[in-house]
Amino acid sequence: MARFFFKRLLISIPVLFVVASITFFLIRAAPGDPFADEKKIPEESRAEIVAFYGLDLPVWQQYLRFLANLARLDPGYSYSHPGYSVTEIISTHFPVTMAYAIPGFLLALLIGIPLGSIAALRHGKPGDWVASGLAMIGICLPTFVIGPLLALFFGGVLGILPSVGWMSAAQFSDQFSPISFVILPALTLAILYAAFVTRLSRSGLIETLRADYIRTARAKGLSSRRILWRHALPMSLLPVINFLGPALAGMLTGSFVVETLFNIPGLGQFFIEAAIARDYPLLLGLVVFYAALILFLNLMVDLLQAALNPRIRENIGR
Amino acid sequence: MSGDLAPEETIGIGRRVLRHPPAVASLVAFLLIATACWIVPAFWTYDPNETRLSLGPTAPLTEIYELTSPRGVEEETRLIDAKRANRLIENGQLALLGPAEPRAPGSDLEKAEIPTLGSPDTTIAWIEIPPIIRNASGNPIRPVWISPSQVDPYFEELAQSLPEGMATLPAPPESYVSTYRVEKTPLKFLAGTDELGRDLFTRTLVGGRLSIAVGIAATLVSVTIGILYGGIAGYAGGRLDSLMMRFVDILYALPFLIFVILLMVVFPRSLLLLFIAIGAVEWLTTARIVRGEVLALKKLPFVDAARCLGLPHRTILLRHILPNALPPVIVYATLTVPTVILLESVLSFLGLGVQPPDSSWGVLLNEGAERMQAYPWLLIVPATLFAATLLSLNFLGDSLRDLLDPKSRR
Repeated sequence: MARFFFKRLLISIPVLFVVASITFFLIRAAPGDPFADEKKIPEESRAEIVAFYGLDLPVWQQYLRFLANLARLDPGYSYSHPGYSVTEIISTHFPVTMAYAIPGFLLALLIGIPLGSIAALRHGKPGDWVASGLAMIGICLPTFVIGPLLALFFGGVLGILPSVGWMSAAQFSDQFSPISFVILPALTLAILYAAFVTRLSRSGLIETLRADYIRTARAKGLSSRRILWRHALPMSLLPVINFLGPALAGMLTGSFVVETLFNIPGLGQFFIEAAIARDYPLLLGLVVFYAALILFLNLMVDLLQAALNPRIRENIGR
Repeated sequence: MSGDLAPEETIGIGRRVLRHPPAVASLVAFLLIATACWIVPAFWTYDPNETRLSLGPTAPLTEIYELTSPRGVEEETRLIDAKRANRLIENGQLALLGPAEPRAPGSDLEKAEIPTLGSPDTTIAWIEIPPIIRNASGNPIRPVWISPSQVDPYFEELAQSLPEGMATLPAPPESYVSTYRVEKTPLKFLAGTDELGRDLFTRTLVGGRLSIAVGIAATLVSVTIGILYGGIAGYAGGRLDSLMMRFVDILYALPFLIFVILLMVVFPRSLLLLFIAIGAVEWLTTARIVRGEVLALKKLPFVDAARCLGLPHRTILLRHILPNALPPVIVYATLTVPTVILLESVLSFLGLGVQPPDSSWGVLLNEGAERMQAYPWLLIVPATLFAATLLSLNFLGDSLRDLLDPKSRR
């Protein structure tokens, strides 16, 4: 198990290298200049700025510099946020994204797995149709439609949750506690994935309940509750766990939308901003950061899968 | 799954789909929406691009009134909805019947009748007064013009806030009295209008053209890449196969939407780039499916037969194996189209997809979500059609998958 873990960890280093290189040359190949739409500045100070960031060097030297910076885990200073290093930006704003993404992720599982399991147990009955219908609606409505609808309902009609803003806004009103600012973004982020999880756990459980070993358990005279909780449910969750990797990746990009909708100072907004402003260090730093994060999360998902499925565990052990 | 997909059985799939009511219903629904998007705007009464700036956003099916001014400054006719027509009439009354002291001394306009909107053509009148604001020494600073469109919020307030004698009229008050005729027009918008007074119904349909086209085109791109990649990997087998599939595994683990966003931001935005960017992200699953199919198919006798005929590998793969691997790919492609439509809408929401002169559902939904509190129909109309399209495609894909799945065929 440990060997598998370290092997996968080692593989991800060349992958990150390739990702970083592709991104580097992609954005250099693109038209645009990071200091193009700055106000008129004298030619010598402009040259000074360009020299300060090392943009006057040949591209291959810049590339080597970039790789060296990456190896030191310090992509340098942002162009569009002067005085802030990329690591500073990531370490200040990533926790903000995590603060609602983690609850959102858990919420997706908490809504999806019970809903899907209930649908599977009532397969072909009205309960199944309701749950499947809800899941279908969740898949068909984009996040940026669901978000404003939730904000309108909870923030506008009921007035129990803040419809926009982030924790620091709590100091201006006594009405909402800082925690309450997390709920709507987390819910908005969760709904799409809750819908996918519902479908996966539904089909997983339907499939599992037809399996031979469930019939064996039933023949042994086990109670149906024990069959469900001990034998069927854990196996039925395998497709859900399989989906966790893509789901986490999707949620990161979903955070771009949620942060725009609710005006949250998370990391997602910086990504688009950096890409538009041609802020090379910030953009490259963020791409590598996201890629590393997703590779790591995928590794965790694989380990979890191995822990739950004896067949995979044996394969890895060998 | 592939073992029992012998050729004669794959031919039967089309007929089996036709006997499956949910699949037919969702297919018909999708085709209806798609044809409506292309055909209806051409025949519809209103042009989706015609702007009516004075009208602004109107709720679905409200009556539209025409405001004509026979001797006003503006000769053009304005269109207003019932709500604003009523408000204008009320304000006109207020201006006529209100405390006329500083504004229209001595005019007998107070005797004017109160018109109602119901009468066939209503004439309303109110006074447009340019009061001159003077400073402490009595010199004029600037005239304040109060035009009919601004009259409602400011008129009363301004007249009261000015001290006596500070607002004076440069000409007799009668010359500022405007009469307007409010007439009902036959205009009626099925889904209301947007901020620029454009017909939302046709706009939504026209936006659908782009969304559906992007969905189908990008899916074709991704399916083509996926079939070729997966087909070559599966047919070649051995080390090349495991190398190619390892590459797919690695790509799977990457946040590819980030690359799509990067591409869209960094290069001059164009529809072609959008197709390619989305298509390049979505091919991975197709490649896996096709590889699995090809691995199973290439062991079947008809492939041996083709090989005995001395056909080149290219022909065997393209003419004999891949056509038989198509059914599961078609199912997956049906499910890819809604995913791509959704992806396009997300990109448009982030301002990276379709650019404003063009419109797509993503653009419309984005506009609607922003103005939802004041004008809910701007979100509801496109969202309904959008959800209906995605629903029909997802449903079609699900039914097709059920039909192809040997387990559920029992």
